Amino acid sequence: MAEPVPGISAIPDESNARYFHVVVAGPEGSPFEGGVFKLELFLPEEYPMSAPKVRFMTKIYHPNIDKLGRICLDILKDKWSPALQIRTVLLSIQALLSAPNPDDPLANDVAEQWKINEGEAIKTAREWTRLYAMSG
Amino acid sequence: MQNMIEINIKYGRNGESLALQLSSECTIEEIKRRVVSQINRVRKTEASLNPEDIAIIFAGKELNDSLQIKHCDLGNNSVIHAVKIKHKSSTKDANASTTLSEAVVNLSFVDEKSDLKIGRKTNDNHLLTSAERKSFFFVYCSCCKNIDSGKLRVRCAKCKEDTLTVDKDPTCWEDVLTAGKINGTCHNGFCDGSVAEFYFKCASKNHPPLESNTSVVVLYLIRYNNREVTCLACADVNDIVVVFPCSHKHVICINCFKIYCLSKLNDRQFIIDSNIGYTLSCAVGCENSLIKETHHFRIMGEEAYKKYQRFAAEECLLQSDGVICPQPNCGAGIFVEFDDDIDPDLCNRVVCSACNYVFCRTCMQGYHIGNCESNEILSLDITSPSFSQTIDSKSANNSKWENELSLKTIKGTTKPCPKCRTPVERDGGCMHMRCTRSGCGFNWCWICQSEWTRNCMADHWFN
Repeated sequence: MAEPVPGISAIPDESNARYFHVVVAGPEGSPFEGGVFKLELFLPEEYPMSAPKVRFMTKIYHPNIDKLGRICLDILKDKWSPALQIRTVLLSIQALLSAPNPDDPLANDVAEQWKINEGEAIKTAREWTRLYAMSG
Repeated sequence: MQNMIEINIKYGRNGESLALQLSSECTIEEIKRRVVSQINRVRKTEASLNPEDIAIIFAGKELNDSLQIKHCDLGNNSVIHAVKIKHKSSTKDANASTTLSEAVVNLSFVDEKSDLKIGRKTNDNHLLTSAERKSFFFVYCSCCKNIDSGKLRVRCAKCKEDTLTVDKDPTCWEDVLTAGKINGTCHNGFCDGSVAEFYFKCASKNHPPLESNTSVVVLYLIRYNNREVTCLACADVNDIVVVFPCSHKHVICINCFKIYCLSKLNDRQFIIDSNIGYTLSCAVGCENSLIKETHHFRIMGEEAYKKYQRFAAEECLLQSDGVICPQPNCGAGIFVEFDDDIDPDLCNRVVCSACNYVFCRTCMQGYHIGNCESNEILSLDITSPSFSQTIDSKSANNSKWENELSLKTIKGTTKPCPKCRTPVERDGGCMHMRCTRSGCGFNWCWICQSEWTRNCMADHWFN
C-alpha cells in the first residue's frame, strides 16, 4: 500500500465497492485553505481502462469546477491512462485547487471574474469555503 | 518404460532419418553409436562410420558426448541432426554444454547489463524446472490457434536445414529477429551456409506432432515475470506480463493487456502506422512505443482479432481514398478509379464490386443525378405513384415500413459529424464529440454541430 496522502481520504461505500466517499482538504496558501471538500468518486465497469468519474459534492468557487461539481481535468478525459490510480487522480484534483486555470474554464462566469479581478475572485472563493466547506 | 521419448534423427543429405526410442538418461555418445550402427546397416556399400566421425546438432549447437537427453530441451518427436564432421573448429565447443534456449533465457531488446543484478532466478539456471525454462518464449501458433510457450530454434539461412551451429549465442532480441546478425557454420553436406536464421516452434502439448516443424510467430513482448514487476493497471504481480516497447519498459499483466486491447478496439482507438499497420502504444502513453509485432493482438481471441483485422483493413482503405459500400450486410471495400474522360456528373458514381449496389461517393446514398440532397437523405419518396404502381403493393408496404422505420430511427437518434457526415449516436457523457471515422477524427460539439471550442466547454460542456 502506498503512503496515505495528507489531506486526502477515500473510503469505499459499504454497499458499493466501486463508489468512494472522498474528502479533500483545501491546500495551504490557496483560497480553499481550511475547507473540507467532499467529493464522490465512481469506478466505471471499464476501470482502469476508462477514467473514474469524480464530482465535488461541496459547493466550491473555482474556474475549473462548475456549479454541479463537475471537474475540468485532462486526466479525467482524453489524457486518462490505466496506469493512473485513484491516488493520482485525487492528487491532481488537490493540485487543481492550488492552481486554478481560468484559461481552461468550465464555469465561465467564475473564470471571467478570476481573469478580470483576481483579488475579488479569491475573496469570493474564501467566502464560499467558509460558508460551505467549514460547516463540519 | 518411463521417461522414454521418441527422437527423430536426420542424417542423410536426402533427408533420410531414423526414429529412436530413448530414455531421458541416454547420453549423446550412445545416440551416436546407435545412429552409426543404423547408417552402417543401411549403407552396406559405403565405408563404415565411427561414432567419432559424426556430430549431433540441435538448436544451433553441437551437443557434447557426455550430455544426457533430459538436459537438452528435447521433446517427444524432436528432430536432431547427425552430420559428418567436416573439420574440427576451435570455437564450436565454446558453449556446447548449454543449449540455445538456456543460453538466451534472458533475452531483452537492448543490452540490460546495468539491470542484470535485479534478475532473481535467471542468474542460476539450475533453479528452474524444465517446464519453467520452456516458458521463456511465447508464440502464436496458427495451428493450435492459441498463445502458448514456444521454443527457439536456428537453421541455416541458405539450405534451411537445422544443421547449422552458431558461432555465438544471441544476446538480445535484435540478434534473433533481424536476419544476418549471428553467423554460424552449416554442416549439411556441401552447403556452405554461414548465416544463422532463428525461428520459433510451438511447444504446446496439444500441438499436432505432424506439424512439429511449422515455424510460429514469437510474441517477444510477452514475458515470464521473473522480476516480479507489478502490473501498471491492476497493480498485482502476475506470472506472465507484457513489456511495452517504450523507453521505460512499462509492464502490464497479460490479462490487463487483453482488456486494454479490447477496450481500445471497441472504441476504435487503435493507431494506424504506415510501417507497422494497425497498432497500439504503451498504455501509459509514452512516445515512440508502438507495438511492432501485431500478432500480439491475437491475445484478444479469435472473434475480436477478426474484428481487429476488419477495422485495420477499413482504416487502411479509407486512408488510401477508398470507399466502403454503404449497403447493409455488404461493407465491401472499393478503390475508385478516376478517369479524366468520364462525364464529371458521373465521377461520384460507384458500383460496388461485391453486391453491385450503385451509390454516390459524396453522400453515400443510392446514386443520383445532380446535387446530393443536403441532409435530406431520409426523405425517401417511396409514395410516389410511379414507384408503387410497378411493384406488388404488399411487399412495397413492407419494405417501405422497414425502410422508413430504420431510417427514422437513425435520423432520430443521430447527428451527422459536421465534417464527414457520418451519423453519430451520443451515448451519455459530455457534449464533446470526437469522430472515430478513419481520417476524420473531427472534434465537434453535439449542441452547436460545429467545431468544439473553449466556449462550448465553458457554456454547455455537459448540457
